[in-house]
Amino acid sequence: MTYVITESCIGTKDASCTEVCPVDCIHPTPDEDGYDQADQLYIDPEECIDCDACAESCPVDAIFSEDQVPDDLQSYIQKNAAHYA
Amino acid sequence: MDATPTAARTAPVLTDGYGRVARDLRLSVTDVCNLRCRYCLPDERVAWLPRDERLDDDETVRLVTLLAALGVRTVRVTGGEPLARPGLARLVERLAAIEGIDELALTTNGVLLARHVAALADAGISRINVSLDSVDRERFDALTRRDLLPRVLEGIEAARRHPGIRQVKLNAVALRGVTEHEALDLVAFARAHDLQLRFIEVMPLDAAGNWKPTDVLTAEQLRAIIARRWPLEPLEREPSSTARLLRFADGGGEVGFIASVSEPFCADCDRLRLTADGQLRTCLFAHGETDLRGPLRAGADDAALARVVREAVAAKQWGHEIHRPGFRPPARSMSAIGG
Repeated sequence: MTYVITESCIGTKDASCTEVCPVDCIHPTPDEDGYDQADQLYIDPEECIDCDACAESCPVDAIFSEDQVPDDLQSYIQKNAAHYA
Repeated sequence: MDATPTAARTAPVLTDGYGRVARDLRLSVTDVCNLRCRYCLPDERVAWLPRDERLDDDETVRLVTLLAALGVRTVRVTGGEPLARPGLARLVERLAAIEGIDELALTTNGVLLARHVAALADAGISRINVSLDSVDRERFDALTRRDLLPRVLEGIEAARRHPGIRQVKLNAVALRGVTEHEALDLVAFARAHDLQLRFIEVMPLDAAGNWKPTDVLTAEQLRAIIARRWPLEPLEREPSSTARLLRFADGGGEVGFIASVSEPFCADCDRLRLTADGQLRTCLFAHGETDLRGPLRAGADDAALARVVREAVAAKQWGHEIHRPGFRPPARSMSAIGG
């Protein structure tokens, strides 16, 4: 099971999630190339260990467990994975 | 005229009905954790605290400032996993600036420590305890349900090497059927890295309420296992300390036992706990807690909050009653109370 970052990250990019992720699977981080250009942050589904810490840290509730992503945000499952493809 | 002696009204100490003075605060900054240790949390979706019930930085600083004015001198930052709270170093920096707070310590699972230790040390953390139940990667994964031992070891090393961190200790929960097999490897690791290791008897604080007395591997049993390999000599117990320390006869450092269940140390307990949602607890095992968040958010002034705190501490229970028939564990688990 992975977690997925969805729409409300766009324009927010608070990046608290990158601070608390225990496996560094959320990118780009504020000190990485491409952070300023990125619309939002993305979770690497291959690396995510399903700990829930990112979802709890997000100030705009952008992050969901894959099985809890609301219907209108399902496309973000693919968008997160595509960032690491 | 007020019958209360002047000293009791104005002295900056929090005293309970047994004469114990509260000086040490265990401050839980979040209930969230990134591990799922079998003796603590279930693996399915954990019901964390509702977000708006957690204290923010300003509220936390306000309450710790109040407690410091009432005599609290040391703060140990805990969780959940405290590093799962974003911006922890910023909060620590503010706690370090509070008048009266002499020492800030951190208890962590170590997973995120390598990344954050420099910022935490700069902010004012000087002592770190890392929870480590196994140094075998597979068994660590089996116990915590996450394959993160290499990161924990990196975290321990980073803390050990940081000049701002005066002391790093290891805490291992002692579980019957598990720790008999881990103890010698853990001790060897601690000795090789010049770290004090303490074994903590597993307490009835798991979220599922599955704890049984027979789960406890007692300090005495563990001491015997370790002493067969490395002879031990007892050291004097420091007042209010949770651990009984022994030293290795060969000069290889110290090992400690926190015998919360078999040899409780309630008699000189100097601890208070503030949960991430602003509840004051005077004992890990108390059934009651005192709501500070409610009055705080309702606009209570310091005098009113201090009254609430004094009354709560005055009513602190003598000790836990794990061995008494009819013992009931507290309604909240360790992850929600703060270790």
